[in-house]
Amino acid sequence: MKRSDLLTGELEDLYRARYRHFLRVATAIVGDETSGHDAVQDGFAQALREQGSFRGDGPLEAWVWRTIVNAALAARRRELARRASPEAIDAADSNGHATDDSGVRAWVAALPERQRLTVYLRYYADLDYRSISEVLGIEVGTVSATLSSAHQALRRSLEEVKQ
Amino acid sequence: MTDVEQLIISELERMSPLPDATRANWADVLQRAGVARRQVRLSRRPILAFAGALVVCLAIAVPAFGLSQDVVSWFSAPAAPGPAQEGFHSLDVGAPAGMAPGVSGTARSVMDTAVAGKDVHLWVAPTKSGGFCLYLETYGGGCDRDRSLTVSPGLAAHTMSGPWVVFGDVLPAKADHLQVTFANGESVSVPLTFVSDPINAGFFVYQVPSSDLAASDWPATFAAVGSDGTTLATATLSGLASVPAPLADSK
Repeated sequence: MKRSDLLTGELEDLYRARYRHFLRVATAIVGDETSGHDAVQDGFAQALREQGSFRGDGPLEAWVWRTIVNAALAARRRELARRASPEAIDAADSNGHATDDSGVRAWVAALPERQRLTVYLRYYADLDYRSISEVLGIEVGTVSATLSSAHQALRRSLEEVKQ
Repeated sequence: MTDVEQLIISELERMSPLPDATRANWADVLQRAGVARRQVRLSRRPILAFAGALVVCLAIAVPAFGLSQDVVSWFSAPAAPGPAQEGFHSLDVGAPAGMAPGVSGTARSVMDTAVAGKDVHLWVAPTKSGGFCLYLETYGGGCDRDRSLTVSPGLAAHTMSGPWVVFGDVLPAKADHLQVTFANGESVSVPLTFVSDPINAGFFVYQVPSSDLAASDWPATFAAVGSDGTTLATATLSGLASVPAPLADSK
């Protein structure tokens, strides 16, 4: 059996086992479940097409997560461009998410992109720090620092609400 | 864990719970990747095509019933791994009205085998209505929720260049083996692995010798045959020309 066949099987197994988590993160990034699903499908399709570029020096799942996150970010950018009308801009916050959320989710949505992605990957995908570092292409220590910064920002938001 | 971390987790969970897998559709992924014509999984099973190999050895075999087949004691068979359990139990989520298989209880590994050098397991889970679902690791599966299919073969392939595998089950308790007859008239005898109550069915996995599966190599007829040579039940698989497009595997 060719290596590509083996990888295809592993990709399918991963898709079936973790689809819901991929969908959850992609939906959080893009803003709606339909677009999130498209991002997951496009991300896995890209992983299938480009599986020859997977060098195997890290977990397959982390490599796939990277394609999914990139697909979701690209989808969000396309959506922002499509909605680039004054009304749409007024209805969205600086991160491109509609401002109908309140509480923690809105606060997370307002975080800088790296912090936001780290939070999503940690709490929505349940990835450990090493996997997150491989997905985002940053050091493990940076993941820890980024998550800590996100916690601080969220704590400030929480305290502001309490006051 | 910090107070903020706890708050993040609880709030995110409350506002964005883990979505269901209704939309999951691997066939769509293949199509988007432009490889749908090479990556084919086929199944004649009616309820799902959720996730085949030379036959087999099994984990726990006990002599029983005076039959020549292998018999697996259901409650002694090892439990399937977590993701497989989740896969079975997610089949009900988002299933069309009346189509949910109603998987009930623990999925168990009833056969271990190898296809093209790769170990695969055949997992089975009972349904509430007395039937069962099966899943051949990597290749696919399906359900006979109500035990309505006396002989139920499925055909799957990893790629169009093979390996092609037929797998499935037979219900007649007196079946001794499965006779697979190909379109060119040749046939082969495939052993059965019977699983005890509450499954009460014989399972088979067979790797089709031809990797390109030309029309003459098509496994056309499947017969459950008794030890005296009596044909107990049969089923057929349509030829390639009439096989529908790969099934979407959304539940």
